[in-house]
Amino acid sequence: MSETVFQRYLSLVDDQGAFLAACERPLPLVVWANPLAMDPAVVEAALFSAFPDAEPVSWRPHTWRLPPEAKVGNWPMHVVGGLYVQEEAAAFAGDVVDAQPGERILDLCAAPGGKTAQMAIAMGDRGTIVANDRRIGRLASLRRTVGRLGLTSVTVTCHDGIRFPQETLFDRVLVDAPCTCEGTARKSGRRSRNPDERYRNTVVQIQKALLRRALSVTKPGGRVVYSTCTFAPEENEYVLDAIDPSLASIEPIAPMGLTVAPGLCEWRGRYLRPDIRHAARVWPHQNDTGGFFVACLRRL
Amino acid sequence: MIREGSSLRASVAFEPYPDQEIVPNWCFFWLGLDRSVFENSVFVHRPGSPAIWVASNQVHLIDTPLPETVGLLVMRKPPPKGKPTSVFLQRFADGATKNVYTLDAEDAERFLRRDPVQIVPVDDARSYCVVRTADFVLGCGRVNGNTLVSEVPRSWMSS
Repeated sequence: MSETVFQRYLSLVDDQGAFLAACERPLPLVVWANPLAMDPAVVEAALFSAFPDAEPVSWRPHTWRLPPEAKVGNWPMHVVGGLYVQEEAAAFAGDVVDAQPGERILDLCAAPGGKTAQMAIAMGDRGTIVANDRRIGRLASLRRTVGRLGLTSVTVTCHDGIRFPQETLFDRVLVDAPCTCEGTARKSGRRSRNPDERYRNTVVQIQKALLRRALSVTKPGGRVVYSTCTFAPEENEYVLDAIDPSLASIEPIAPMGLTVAPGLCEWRGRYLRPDIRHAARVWPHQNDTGGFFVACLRRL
Repeated sequence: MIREGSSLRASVAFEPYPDQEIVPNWCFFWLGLDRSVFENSVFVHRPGSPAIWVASNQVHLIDTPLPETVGLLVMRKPPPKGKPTSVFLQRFADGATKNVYTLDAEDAERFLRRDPVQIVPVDDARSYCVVRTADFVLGCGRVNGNTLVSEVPRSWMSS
């Protein structure tokens, strides 16, 4: 009998009961304020007025957890870009990029644009972010995010990330790669579905190609952040292991207050490069979030 | 002629707009907006298209791959005929002092749903106007008699 999504990873988690229980609970709704659009204090006041049980996210400024059933989509404040709904673990991945004002950043798989927006705001909307997605059908959501949040530093492109042109080199590149999305089970209710191995085998090749391309368009000394919302080591640590160590090193991620587990250096008898331990696994039960994987690479 | 504002495949690269003062001048004259709000911005366009966009003045304009968009769309036609987009006004028009209408919460939702709102006209009814709440800008409107007509995109508020 093939494994379910969660049984496959029970040997990796520190508290199996807590992991399974967290995966059964609805995911909190997390929002952050956009200071380019309005004063975060105004956003906070409105949130607490509507949701007295709202909680600030301790590790991230101007970010709040709302009840899972909260609806803010038609709030004027949301419509005009004053706040953005984003899963907390996903926000962690965007913050690891650590975008700085004036830099050139590439978001290789950008749609719908949440991490693009994070980076633009971190830069004070000064500099260049190229927000790319290969799928024309996803460009509308990306353009809507850019417009709604008022981002003037963002250039939207539609190109196959695996073949992204190398004329421009970037200070930092984010590869938020397509994946099997096992970490979104709390959101999508995919708790008992078995992983599709054929799709996984296909997507792993895409992930490796995207990461290689990302490194090829990064300046020496620049940073590449690789992230997925899945638990599968094949799509996370194995992808990192496929990178030539002379091309990039995997660096520690500065603590941000979110509890993370280290990347795996061994899985089912296969041993991987030791610096993969610097990657971060976000397990749902550790912070009451979805699942995520983030690695920070330095282009050598 | 390139049609801006809709999903399209780019065919021409963006360049700086030849007249960097045309938008700040229009905003100052019609909206009372200080030109200093654009001090960190540059206006760009695609040659052959009448549309004007606004970007960070630190943006690096690329031509490979050709961009779909750069920054925010300001107007689909240059002044004086152009209409400012709501995303442009949201980002830059917080300090507008002319042709500004401030709505309460109920009228703000009505405005975003593109339902008409009753107002007392101020300033110059020929102008497009900035519509806002006490705390933030909602978008672009125009005055028709005693009615404020919303110019925000239809897709903004889900039904």
